[in-house]
Amino acid sequence: MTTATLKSPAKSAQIARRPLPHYIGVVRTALCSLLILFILYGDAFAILAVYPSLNYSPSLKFVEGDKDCSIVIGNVRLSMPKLLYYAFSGASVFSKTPPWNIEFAVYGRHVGADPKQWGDLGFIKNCFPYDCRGEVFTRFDLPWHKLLGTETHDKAVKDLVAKIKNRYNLENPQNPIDTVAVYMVWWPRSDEGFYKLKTPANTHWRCLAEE
Amino acid sequence: MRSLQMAMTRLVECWNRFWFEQISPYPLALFRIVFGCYLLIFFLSSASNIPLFYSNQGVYTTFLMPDIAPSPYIAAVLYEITVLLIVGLIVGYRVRVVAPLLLLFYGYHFCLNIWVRACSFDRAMLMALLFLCMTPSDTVLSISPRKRQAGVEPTVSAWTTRLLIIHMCLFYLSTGIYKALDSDWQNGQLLKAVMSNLYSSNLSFAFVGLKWDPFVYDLMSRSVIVFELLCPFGFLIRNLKFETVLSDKPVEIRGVQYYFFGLGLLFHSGIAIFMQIPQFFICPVYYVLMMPGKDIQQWLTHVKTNVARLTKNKSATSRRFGFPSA
Repeated sequence: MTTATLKSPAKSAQIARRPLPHYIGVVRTALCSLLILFILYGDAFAILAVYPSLNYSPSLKFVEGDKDCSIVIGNVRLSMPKLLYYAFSGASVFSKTPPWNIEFAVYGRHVGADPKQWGDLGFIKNCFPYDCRGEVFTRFDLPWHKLLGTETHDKAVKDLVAKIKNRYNLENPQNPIDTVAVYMVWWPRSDEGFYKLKTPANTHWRCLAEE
Repeated sequence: MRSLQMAMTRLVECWNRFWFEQISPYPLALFRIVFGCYLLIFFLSSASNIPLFYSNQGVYTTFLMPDIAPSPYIAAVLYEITVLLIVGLIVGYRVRVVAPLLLLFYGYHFCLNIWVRACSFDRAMLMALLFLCMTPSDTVLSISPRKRQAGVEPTVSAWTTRLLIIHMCLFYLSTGIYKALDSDWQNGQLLKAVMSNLYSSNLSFAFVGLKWDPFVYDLMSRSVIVFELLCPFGFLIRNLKFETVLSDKPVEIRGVQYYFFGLGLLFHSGIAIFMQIPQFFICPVYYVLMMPGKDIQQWLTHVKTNVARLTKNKSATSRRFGFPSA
């Protein structure tokens, strides 16, 4: 076989790969093993956490701190950073449903208008064009920001509201707003329809943020 | 001391054999393709809202990264590059480079706007992408396959395939255990409430509106728990053979895992239709990894033969009617 033939792309694919030096193989295996152990630890931690979180096993305790979560089994304490724990934990999906239906409303005050005159901008769908109402709820609820603390969460909500205002002014340059407020609106849940029990008497409002 | 050392050596050998033995590359390669298609559909669903979701004129919430959303034009370019990288992953073009780049680009979009609602399906998606960066998923079923020894059947190390399988099985198991222990899941009330809440589709409300007997919800609830507890084991069983007292002949059930795959697809279709969360189809994407390489090869041969036959028939028909053949 000539060198020229060896260098041709078609043939080069058939050349046996030179084996790696032994120590590289060992290091690679060790690193992969560490990663495997980490994933298995995370999965096992998430499964173990199910028992104490449902108060099912008195011998296991689940402790949630500011930055980490732990499972205490007698004298043994297994820990994991809080964000990582929630990355592994998926067990509680569909485990709770609030007794309320929730929606959001964007109210704004137009530039130069009476300061007391707030109007519903009907702008939620423009900002959150999702079919699923739950998705819109999550985007205001910001569960991951809650894990980082109230301050981070509140700032994120404020930033989001500021972006809604900018977006509105961008889409409506002829009739801009100078102030915007996002309200959470909730009413009792009913099996008979999403809006079935939405009446003025049992509908509640709360301002999430004003900008 | 010596026996301890021997036990340790044996343990390490078993560990290495289980995780690092060479297996068929077909499940991993097919997983790359199916996962890529899933990611493409998922990512393209935001194609009409690029400025809104990913630009500095949009409405989004970043997580664990500064607010560095670019202008709409740059956002569109970054989005298009990500789509191209996904296509590159699907066809297996230079996966060694494309997969890490895709992780970077998708990770950027993820932190910019997707993580904020990050559900378990988002994490399963990221996990799959991360592991595709660390594994030669382009040994086969790829337009630029990795170099391999001529005449030798291609293989890959088992660790990524097996780890992803175990991760998915444990995910199902944890949700099953949670529901089995949770007092709210002991009857159908919670399921009924879940089917008429924020996430529910109009079809789901219509279903609940039919005022079914509580027994129906109890049955559905129990079925979900039984499925989630059994499927992690069912997925791993290929053939089952057992003897009964009723017959001398052993009972043999072939392809047990495929029945569980079917049930899984049904389960996730229900979630997609009633709860409007089609993203949970990432779980069935993982099923591909559990399929035997031989089955995939057979299935591919079958598809190839049929396509060849179809093409042949088409050209014969074209010739008969005087159409120019493609």
